Amino acid sequence: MKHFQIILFLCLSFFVGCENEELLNPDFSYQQKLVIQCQFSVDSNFPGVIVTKTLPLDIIFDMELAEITNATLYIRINGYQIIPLHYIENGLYKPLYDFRPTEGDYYELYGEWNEYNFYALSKIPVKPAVKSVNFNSSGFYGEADVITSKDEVYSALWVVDQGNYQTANDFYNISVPSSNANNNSISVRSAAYPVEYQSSAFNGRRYMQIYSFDRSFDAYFKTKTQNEEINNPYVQGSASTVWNVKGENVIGMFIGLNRSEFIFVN
Amino acid sequence: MTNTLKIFFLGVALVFQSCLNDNAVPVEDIVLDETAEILRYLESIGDFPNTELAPALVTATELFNTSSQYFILDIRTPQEFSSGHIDLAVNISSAKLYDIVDSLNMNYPNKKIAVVSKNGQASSYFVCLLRLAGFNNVYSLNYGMASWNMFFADEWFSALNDVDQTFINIEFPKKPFTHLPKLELPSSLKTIQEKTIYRIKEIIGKDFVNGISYSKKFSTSIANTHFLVCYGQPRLYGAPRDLGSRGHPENAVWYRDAYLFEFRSVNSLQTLPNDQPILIYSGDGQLSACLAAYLNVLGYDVKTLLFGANQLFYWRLNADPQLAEYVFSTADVMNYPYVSGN
Repeated sequence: MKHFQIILFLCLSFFVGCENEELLNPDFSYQQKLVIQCQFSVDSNFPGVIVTKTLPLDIIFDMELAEITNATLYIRINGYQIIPLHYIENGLYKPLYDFRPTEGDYYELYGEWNEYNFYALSKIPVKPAVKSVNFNSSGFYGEADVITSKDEVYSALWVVDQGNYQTANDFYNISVPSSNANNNSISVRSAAYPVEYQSSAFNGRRYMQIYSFDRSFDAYFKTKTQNEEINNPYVQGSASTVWNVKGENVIGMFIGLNRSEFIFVN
Repeated sequence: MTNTLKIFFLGVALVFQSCLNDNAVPVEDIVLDETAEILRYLESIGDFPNTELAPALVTATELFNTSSQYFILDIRTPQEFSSGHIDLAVNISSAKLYDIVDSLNMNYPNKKIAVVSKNGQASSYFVCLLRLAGFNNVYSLNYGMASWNMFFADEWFSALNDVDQTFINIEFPKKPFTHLPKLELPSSLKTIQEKTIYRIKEIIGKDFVNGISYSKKFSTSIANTHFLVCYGQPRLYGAPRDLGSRGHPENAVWYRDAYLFEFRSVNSLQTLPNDQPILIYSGDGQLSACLAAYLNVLGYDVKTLLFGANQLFYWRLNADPQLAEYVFSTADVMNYPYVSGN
């Protein structure tokens, strides 16, 4: 029993140490973060990666202050092909020569700047293969059955033909396949068409566009406003935004996407 | 020890586990090898070998007419130099090229430098290395001394040959992408520029004739020991039916020059094998010498086939108007004056 008491005493002293560490050193000072931005698809040449840093609240945003001009960045494709990125302007780093990403490829981003190191991985999704499309007349939204591919999630935008095409500003939700595998089927829906497009006058002019994203887009989408899914308003969000760029004091998204043509809905 | 104590210890261990600092963000190993660093640096200063500028030739006529604008560095052997050289040319060892060019550039920044070899291929090789080091005012005398005067053209004319009887038109595929070669550089080198210059100087110090060129007559058996690369336009690789459909040696893989420049990082550079010697041929051996220099800097084991297609299918070069630019002939020999002695 005496040994037990000694051990208990030692353990408690450790616990106290653990607790105090958080309480005694509260740090409210400004922590600079590196911000990485890159969204790429097969539709166009690789756009490059933007590298900036956050600025303290009392400094008015100025690209000259925020941009990083001397970072080291590389893309690595499918684990082998190295493509260096070079600073151009406004924090933008591009390959020396244009190239167009290929669907199904995996892109890794390696970078460093001073004491910051960062890394990201993203797949360039394949173009969404749509099996069927349906117009939900009670909810006034489009929904589609899409064939899944590994490491991808899906979403959709509503589109209305008004002579020129009007599209939704953001996605309604992200459809995540329950199995991360190829050739399953998943339902993807758009947000409801705005009220002004719900009348019968717009019958025959409603479309939707299906997007496929690297799987990491799901966590980002659900947390980008530090909230829960848009269709679950009763749950209070709390977590920080989930970025797919990894690194200490580094935030950002490095994300591949692909999209279908406009698909007729109703 | 009682069961109660065991359970207690298990609980304590679990609590300790939760106390561990989990703020560290997992980051993949960001260890980029030296080759990737050098590749980035070479691109950042213009990626010379993968542009229309390569191999930076100056013709005999241009050099003759504007010789006052140039320092002429002759890298042939002292014996070859004393048998005849361009007036005011200076005979130097190729191993000293970097230091001499560096010194000339510091003291005479507005002057151009022409490097002269016997056949234009060694000079293309070294000029490419110097360009990769950032010396953008360095040029290689087109076809070397062979284009200056017929007295020096013996090797070029004896090299012209046709060995394409067994050649075929089948396109052999590039290999799958693989890693860049591994380079090991001294850890004392800190900056990417220091590393690149070190690597370039290291290669400049090697002998061209024995080290980098494949000077023997080409034989098809070489494809068994080398990854054979044809670098150039489509007609250099594939021969049309009316010219015999015998385009290239068996197993030769085609890499396109302008406009694709397939040795660019965004194209097919990393389809070159990093574990096998490579032999590359171009139209006249000058561009392939330049590319061999570039690929050697990146760590590939590359040789250039001297005289290029001129020693493989000279008749076809002459017969195909699209390949006329690669033909070496008496029309390329200017018979300009030269001086003998040291």
